[in-house]
Amino acid sequence: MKTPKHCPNCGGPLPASALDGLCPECMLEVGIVPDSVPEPAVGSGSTVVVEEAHGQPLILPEIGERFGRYRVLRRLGRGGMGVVYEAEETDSGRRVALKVINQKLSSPHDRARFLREGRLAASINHPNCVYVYGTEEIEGTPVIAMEFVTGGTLQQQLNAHGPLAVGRAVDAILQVVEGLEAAHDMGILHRDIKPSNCFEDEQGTVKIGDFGLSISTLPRPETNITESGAMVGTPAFCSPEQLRGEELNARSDMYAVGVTLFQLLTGKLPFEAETIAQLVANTLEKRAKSPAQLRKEVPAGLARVILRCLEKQPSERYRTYADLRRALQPYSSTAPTPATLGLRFLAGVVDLMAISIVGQAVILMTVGDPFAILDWLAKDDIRGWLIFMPCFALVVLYYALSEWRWGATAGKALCRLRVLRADRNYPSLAQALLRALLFVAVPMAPFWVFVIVTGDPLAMAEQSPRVYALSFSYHVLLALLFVTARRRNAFAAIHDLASRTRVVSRAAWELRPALDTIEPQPAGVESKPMVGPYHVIEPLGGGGDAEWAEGYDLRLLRRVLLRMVPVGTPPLPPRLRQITRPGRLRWLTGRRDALENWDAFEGSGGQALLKLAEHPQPWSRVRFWLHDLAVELSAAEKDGTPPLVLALDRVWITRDGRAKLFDCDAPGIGAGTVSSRVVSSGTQSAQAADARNFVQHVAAVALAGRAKEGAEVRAVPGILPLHARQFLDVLPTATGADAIAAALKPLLRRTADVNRMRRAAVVLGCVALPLFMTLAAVLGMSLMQRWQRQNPGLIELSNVLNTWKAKKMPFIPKDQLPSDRLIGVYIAAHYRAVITNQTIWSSAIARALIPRDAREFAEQSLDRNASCAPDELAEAGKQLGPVANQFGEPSMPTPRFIGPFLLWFGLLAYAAIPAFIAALLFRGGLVLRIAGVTFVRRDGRRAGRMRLLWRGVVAWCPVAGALALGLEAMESKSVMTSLLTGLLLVVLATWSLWLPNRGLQDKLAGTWPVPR
Amino acid sequence: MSSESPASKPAGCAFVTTRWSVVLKAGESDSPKAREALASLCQVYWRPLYAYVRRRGYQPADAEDLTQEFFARLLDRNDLTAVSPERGRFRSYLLAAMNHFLSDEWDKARARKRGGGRVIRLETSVAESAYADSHADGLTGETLFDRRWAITVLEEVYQRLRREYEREGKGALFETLRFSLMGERDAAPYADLAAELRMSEGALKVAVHRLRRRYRMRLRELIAETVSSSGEVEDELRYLLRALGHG
Repeated sequence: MKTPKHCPNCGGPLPASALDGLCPECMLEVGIVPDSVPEPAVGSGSTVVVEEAHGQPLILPEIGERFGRYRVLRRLGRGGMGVVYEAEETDSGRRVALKVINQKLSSPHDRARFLREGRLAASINHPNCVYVYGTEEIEGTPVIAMEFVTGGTLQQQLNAHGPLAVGRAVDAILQVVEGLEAAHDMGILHRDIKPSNCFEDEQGTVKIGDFGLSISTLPRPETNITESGAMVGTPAFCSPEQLRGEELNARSDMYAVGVTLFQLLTGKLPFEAETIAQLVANTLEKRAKSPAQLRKEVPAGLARVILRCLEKQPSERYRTYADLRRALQPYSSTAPTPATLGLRFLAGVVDLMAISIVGQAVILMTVGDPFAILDWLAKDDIRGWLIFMPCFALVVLYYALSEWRWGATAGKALCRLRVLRADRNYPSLAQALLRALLFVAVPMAPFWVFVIVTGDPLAMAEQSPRVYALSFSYHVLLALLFVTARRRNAFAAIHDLASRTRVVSRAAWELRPALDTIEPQPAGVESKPMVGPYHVIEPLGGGGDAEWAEGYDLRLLRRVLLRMVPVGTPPLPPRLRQITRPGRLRWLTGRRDALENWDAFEGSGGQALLKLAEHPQPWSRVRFWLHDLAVELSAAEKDGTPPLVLALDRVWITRDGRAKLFDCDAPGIGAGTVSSRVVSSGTQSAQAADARNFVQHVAAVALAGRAKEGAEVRAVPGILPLHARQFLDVLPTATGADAIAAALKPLLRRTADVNRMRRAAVVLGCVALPLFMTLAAVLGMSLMQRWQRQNPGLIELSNVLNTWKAKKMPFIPKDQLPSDRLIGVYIAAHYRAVITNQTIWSSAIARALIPRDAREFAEQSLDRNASCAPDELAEAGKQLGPVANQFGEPSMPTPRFIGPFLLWFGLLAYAAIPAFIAALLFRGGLVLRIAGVTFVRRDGRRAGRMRLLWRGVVAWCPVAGALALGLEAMESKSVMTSLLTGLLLVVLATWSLWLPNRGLQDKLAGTWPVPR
Repeated sequence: MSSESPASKPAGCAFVTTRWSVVLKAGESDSPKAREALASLCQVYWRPLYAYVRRRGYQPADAEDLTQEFFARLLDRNDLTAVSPERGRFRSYLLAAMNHFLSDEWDKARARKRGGGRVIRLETSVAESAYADSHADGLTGETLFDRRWAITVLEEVYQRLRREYEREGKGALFETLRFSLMGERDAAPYADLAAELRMSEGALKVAVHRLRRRYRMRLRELIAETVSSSGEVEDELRYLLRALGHG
């Protein structure tokens, strides 16, 4: 039996079968429908348009035949309102996706609505949205011509290969989100997001198509055409509010994004049901199952993101697409950056400070005296363990719970670090506990061993070599935990390896900065002169021998670029008309005849690069342009469509900050006003060099803002991030556009400038340690006073014994110190009560203050000097009295005065001096390195050591002044001076931070802070 | 299609015990009933397997011998236990068994004298032309197998349906309406068709509806024969639709 080659129903090829020409696919589609339901099954993903059908037939194109100015090649599928074919524009050879209105929808109302889809979608010009070339009626049948996306839909991929890999699904959805955001910016809701409406091209770019059900949220003509309250959309992807027919906003599309991602990851829908009614009920009432339950590899965090998109209340979902993108970003296929050890160190210090401040505060508030715990422990007082064990457990739990729940402790969060498993989930509770236990307990292990072996917890309070060694071992063991860290294992420490987790840096997501806001529809367009179907709204000046103008398409309500060319100009070559990449100007249509000679191109707003480059452009913008150009040149190289001429006046920057290459001079650049270096593309081998020179040239001109000088600008001046400078330095050695694009890609996600927040963080980083130490010292002093009151005589005794100890030290002139005998006499006479009082004498504080040998000496003194001569006693009193009382109660300086002094001193000793040394040795210290900041000179090169030392001196000299004033204030006990000095410093620091771009010290030293 | 293939049973109890579940239940006991059930299944589904073997690179004559030998061994000996079928679908079982056979048994089988008789009637000329026509180049063996399987299921159900209509003396009606098994076809308005068949348009619509209903029922019955429980039928249907996707 002779059978046709293609199915007359779906257009697909007919496989050989004994089905007498029936198409197995269509047949199975009919068969799969449950018998009781005549409509397509719920969950099959087909769009339901609740609408009355009209019987009037419309013309449907036949495969392989001409249809208007198209040749229909094959049926691609069915959209919300029509059938989509792949077709070829016969005059240009361009492939398009041709959407033809569904035969059932033939009323004028339906036609208007169908064309409105084209109009709404046409107003979006974004790489992640299918581009609409135009709408027309062919033999009375409305059609929409759209960009043909080669790779098929996400639904087809799902059908062919099952659920997508997690990273790939998230990559696709991130692009969908970008496209939706662009649509939302134009005031358009899609209302029918689902895998079968997401198309993927060969380069892996995902584009949203089928705006058949989209609506405008802006006041536009004819937007109310479907506002009949009828439910539209695909039920399984409809948000609850959409099912209820309520007013919608972007969060309704966000719901559909959630369902789409759910399906891409699991192959299932969050709500499945036999009938629509049941589906609606489930969607409105049930809570969606977590996708992580359906597929183990789905990270719990990602599952939470999806579930948040699926919230019943729109207000519970993400506020903006930007928020959603930020939440999704960590799960994309881009590998997370391992955290550097420097950042982890900083995070560790912050955590340690937080723990000790909170811990000390708690102990002071509950017990009142840290040594009391040791005393209790020594006496096996249960209170000691009751306090000690929970403290230990709390520290472990602090790390474990925060890393389990939020993936980061406070310190890690501050340093933008996250603890992740290989599957990008936060660690499980068991993993987090293991990490925390290893990290907290291992360095403390020697303490435990010490206590168990000696059986004397109080010994830890002693000042003895073994206790010093013990304290030292803590840091050594802590450092040893990191002995395994290598670049190749993502800097995994032992506790990372054991718990199979890694610490990574949270990626900064830097958005492409837009040039302008969206332009409103121009007024009075109808009265403007016309070129072809377009109204000319503004002449844009010449570009070569042609005239540019901004045109307006009243059918599609969008701007276009018109290029009027002289009679006799040949049409654009087909290869240029077929390019659909975002890096090239997209051709829409054109005409060549005796009367009209013009081409229409996409209108994307913006300005010519040379116009923008009249002023210096920031790196945060320019890097995206360079990347766009490199990507375009690389793609063009691959498919044989490189521009014949690469020139600065052929670069256009669109409204949303995207660089586009023109194949002719860009508008607004009058010929002759600019001398731009023109690079002609020669052979294939020359293309790489051309691309490199061109990108270099664009970078130089844009960053310098010296468009007028054109060709002369080669070196790039200006204040640039260090990584940008390094990139520009190696640019001349790049092997081609590919390599340039690859080198630029990671730079797009790096911080482009040092903002006030970061500068403030540097200041706080410098101040933190001295401030912490001052607080500790002040606290120590008030404790000292308290001990003095609680243990009368103990501090004095310790002072006296220090004199005895001093005699054993080298380099101290012994002859001026009192003899042992005199010291013994003095002790026996004055401190017998202290030494014989077992509570005081064996307390932790006593052992902390008085070393073991001094204790023995004191005890022996009591026996040896049971009685003594009065003159001896008087002599001892004369020599030792002042010593005993040197920090005695009356003369003890109050923290009120010594506090500020200590702070200024600490700032100089622990911040300024290390900063000077680091400036000289490494051109910047730890805090600057951790904050990722370095300094450059006016010419953009790194500042030298001497200049940085000078900068440090300038920055710290107010603190030196404050120290002098603090000393004076301590002497005179003037509270006002202390307060005023502090206030002055704070004002200075704030003023410096408030200045844009750089602080006072930078102005004085001639430096600029830039990101590394 | 072979006219000796098992006649369709009336609907109703078909979902309760399926042929494949009979085979599975029999397991190691090697009951004649199970063997008979298996044989009748194999008689229907040998073609996808033939296409698979061809796709694996065997020449037509070899592929025929191989398929025949495979079935002979499958039905002759108690090979059901040898492959340890995951208690799943007949389709996956058959493919797994064939893979096992191709990897381990084929050489041994070839070394021995071919025997076991021709248990399944293979019309390899038909299968070969179907294979040649199936644009198999870009497909993996598994994909091709699944696609041919789906087509075989549809062919079988289509032929059963046609015989049923013919038995009831409604062959002409089936011939006219068979295109409605492909869904809405707007090119053939019901009014014209009704006139052609001398029926009212309403009656025609009812006839189409009944044909489709019966088709859906037969389709499910047929698929039920190859799965271990009736709950898997819809799943298998969706699987087959996916297998057919992407022409």
